[in-house]
Amino acid sequence: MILLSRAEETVLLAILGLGDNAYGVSILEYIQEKTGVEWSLAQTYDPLKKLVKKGYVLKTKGDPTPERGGRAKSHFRLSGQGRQALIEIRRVQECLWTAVPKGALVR
Amino acid sequence: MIESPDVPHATPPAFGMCLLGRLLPEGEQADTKGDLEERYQLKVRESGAARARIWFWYQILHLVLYLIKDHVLWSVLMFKNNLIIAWRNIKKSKAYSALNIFGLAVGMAVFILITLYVRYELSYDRYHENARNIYQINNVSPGNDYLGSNVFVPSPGPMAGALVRDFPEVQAAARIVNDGNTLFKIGTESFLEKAFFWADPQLFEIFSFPLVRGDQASALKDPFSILLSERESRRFFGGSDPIGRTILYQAAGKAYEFRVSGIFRDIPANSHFVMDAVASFETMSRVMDWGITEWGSNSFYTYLLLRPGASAAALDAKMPAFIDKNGGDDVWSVQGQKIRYFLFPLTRIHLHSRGHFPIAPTADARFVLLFATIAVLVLVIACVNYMNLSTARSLKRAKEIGLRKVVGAAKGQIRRQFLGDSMLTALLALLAAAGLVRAALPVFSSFVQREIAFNPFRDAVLMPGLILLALLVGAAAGSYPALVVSSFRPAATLKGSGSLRFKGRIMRDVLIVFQFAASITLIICTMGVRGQLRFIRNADMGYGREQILVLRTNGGVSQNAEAFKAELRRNPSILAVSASISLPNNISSSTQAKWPGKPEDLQIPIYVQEADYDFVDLYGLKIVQGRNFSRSFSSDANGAFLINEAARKALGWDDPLGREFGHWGNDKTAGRIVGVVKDFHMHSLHLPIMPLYIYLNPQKGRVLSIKIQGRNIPETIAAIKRTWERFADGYPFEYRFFDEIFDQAYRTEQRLGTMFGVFAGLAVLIACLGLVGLAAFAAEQKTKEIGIRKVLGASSPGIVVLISHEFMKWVVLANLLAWPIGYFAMKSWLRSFAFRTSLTLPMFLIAGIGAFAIAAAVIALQTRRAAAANPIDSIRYE
Repeated sequence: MILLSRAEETVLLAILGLGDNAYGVSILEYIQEKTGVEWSLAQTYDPLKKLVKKGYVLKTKGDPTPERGGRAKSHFRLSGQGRQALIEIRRVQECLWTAVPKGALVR
Repeated sequence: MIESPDVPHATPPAFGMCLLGRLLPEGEQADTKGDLEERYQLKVRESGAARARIWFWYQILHLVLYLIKDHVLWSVLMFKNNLIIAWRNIKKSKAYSALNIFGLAVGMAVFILITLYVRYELSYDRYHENARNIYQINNVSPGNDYLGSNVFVPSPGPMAGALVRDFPEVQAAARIVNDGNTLFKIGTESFLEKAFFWADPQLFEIFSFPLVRGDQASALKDPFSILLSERESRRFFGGSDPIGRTILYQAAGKAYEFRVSGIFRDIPANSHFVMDAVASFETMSRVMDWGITEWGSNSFYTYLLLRPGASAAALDAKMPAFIDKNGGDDVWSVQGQKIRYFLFPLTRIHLHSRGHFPIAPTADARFVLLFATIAVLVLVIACVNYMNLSTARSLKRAKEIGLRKVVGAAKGQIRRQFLGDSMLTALLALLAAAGLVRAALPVFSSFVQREIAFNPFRDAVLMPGLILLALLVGAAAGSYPALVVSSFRPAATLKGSGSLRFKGRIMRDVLIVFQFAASITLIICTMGVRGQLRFIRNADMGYGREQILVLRTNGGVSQNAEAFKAELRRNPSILAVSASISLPNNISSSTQAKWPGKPEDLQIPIYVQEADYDFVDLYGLKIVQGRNFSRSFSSDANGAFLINEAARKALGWDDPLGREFGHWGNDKTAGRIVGVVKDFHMHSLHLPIMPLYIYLNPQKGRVLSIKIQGRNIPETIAAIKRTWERFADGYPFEYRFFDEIFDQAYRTEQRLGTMFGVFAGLAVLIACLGLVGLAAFAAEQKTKEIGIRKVLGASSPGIVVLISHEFMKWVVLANLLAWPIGYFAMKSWLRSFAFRTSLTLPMFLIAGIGAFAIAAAVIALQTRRAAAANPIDSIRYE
């Protein structure tokens, strides 16, 4: 079984959702927009670093832009392993959720 | 992203960006900074610059927190791991670790003890609030070369008052003088007070001697009032209220009533003088005439308090004019040169005052410095030991290091791991050292004659200091092994120890040479000092030392001295009794030789002894010309002199007999010279024999020498005591043996000898601990070689020699280094003696051969087992 922290899973899903445009700021904004929870940059960097280390996410250098003070940005994209991980997580989650009796959570 | 060209580009705070540049690793900087800046633009546009800045700093804070968390987490994990490994290593080789820890512990214990002592010595008189602005008046008398120096501590009585009057920068000045042994009567009881002083009331303004009873402003102002220390008040009055009680003081046959007006807190032992009772100068002037208004007599100790910011050097410069103005022609002068007064800082008195007649004995900074040097030396030897042992030992851990490197440990990490190792060892050693210090403290305290405390839990400086010491020792001792170990090549170490050569070889040998050179030097110093002490003990001083009892006459005994002496002589066990002003081993009074018709420009300093008829015979002084004082020559009673050979030579009188001579530097004749005594050592052997005259004066001597028979000494002493008690009206009977007093003059030398001996022993011990470890290790490394050699016919002793040889050549080299060092050190020490033993070759040989033999024995014992092992086992060993 693949174990990811909640933060790692969230970031991984954000990268998947963003497609080709996944980099630091866009990931942050995507998460905020979709979930309404305010994250700090550091909070996204930490899981990002770990995901890159574990090989779920690939990092590529992009072009420098003026609004970044002329600095290049790193783009992130899911590796095959990353996709596999998400599929696995989703399967586990769905299995577990379907096993829960209806209305158990509401009560 | 919405581009809006009308909004200018907003740069985030530069300081924050710069901070990130410092904290983040190179690879992450561009990304993070870029993201921050981009997002910052958006925030500025959305909610304004102020909100954006708050957001920015919030982000920075978060980033930093994450960084810290990460760093701490990993260092804790690694530290914990290293600690576990270090602890396992210590446990795995218990004997070796014990050697290592014990060696370090001994070194640290010595260092801690001596640091405590040095700290105590440096703490003298610093507790006074005004310590930095307090000075003692000393003087230098050019031409008055007395016992090898011309600096004196006492000053004239009017000095203090005149200083305050003439110099606005002098805030207060006070005189003080010790009254020696004083007998106080309280009710029917008598108490001998040894620390009774006369002083000016300003004493309490200058020094911080807080009063626990009574009023500081009026203390000592009333005549016939007396202040006591807390402990003295307890001794005199027990628990009852001392204020207002009367104490009877006797002077010149009259009794005076002193009223206790205050109690001051006990004066700390780290003070250059300690007083237990004090009355005012005003009172003294009513009780006796001590010449307190004379500029010509230096009898008192003057202290002054300068106003903050005033310069002592500036005041020094004004002193000659001040002395001329106030003292005029009365001021002491020697050969037309007036003596020069100067300010001596209070905090330097204890260690640096070289002046004669100090208010209380002082210490010698050189002794403290020597002590400190040796402490550092022993600590360094212990560290060196650690370096040697753990470097050699690290070969055992080569595989561990290799593996660590293979899985990615950097050199720095290995280095840190080994430093951590040695710091852990040092901390363990610190615990052992604390135990050793505790055990040795009583002996050490009595050796240095100080009350030294060791309370790491109550001392604000000591605990951090100790931990710092352990960490420093750990870092110093561990740095070299760490360096060696971290440079191991993983491939070589993992292939097997066979191909691994020990790289620290040269360093190890240098360290062995250093250890043994230091040890042998200390042994040579011990032997040199012992040799001189033996020389002193066996030297012919020119006077007898055995079975002589010395009393200081007091009260009734000094008033009826003749009767007392006569009474004693009636006892058949008492062979002779003599009174004199000083003992023959310490004749401290000196003057200028004068006689009728002396040429004006001739200056001959001469020492003065006054004694009765029996002095020469009692001490066995030899008469080389003329005769001794004699009761059968009635002219002697009108004044007679004996001079020594040195005086005869200095005066240039081949036949001094019958010459008239002046007493105490007086031109007028006081009598005739009746004989010449053979030169005897009237000072310590540091000084040459100087001219001396002995003036016949049976009344003046207050030092009583009693020569007794060797049999039944306790009974004789008891008889003397009974006689004393009949005469002394209350003064307690206190006596000492002359040979004890004689030995005491060489106390410093004896302590030096003991100190060198102890440290030499410790240094040799630590060095041998090192050798034990190294030899055991060498034997282990050579297990196979030894096996093969034995198969080929080598004998066990041959093997021992083989291994020993590797170390012993360095011990020999250490000798060659230590001999010249020891020779010059001892040569310069002996130069302080006018009469000294010579350094002989056997001293060096014994030191050298001794160290060699101990080292050889240690190695032989250690390698014997390896040499005796069955070759089959050792060759098979893998």
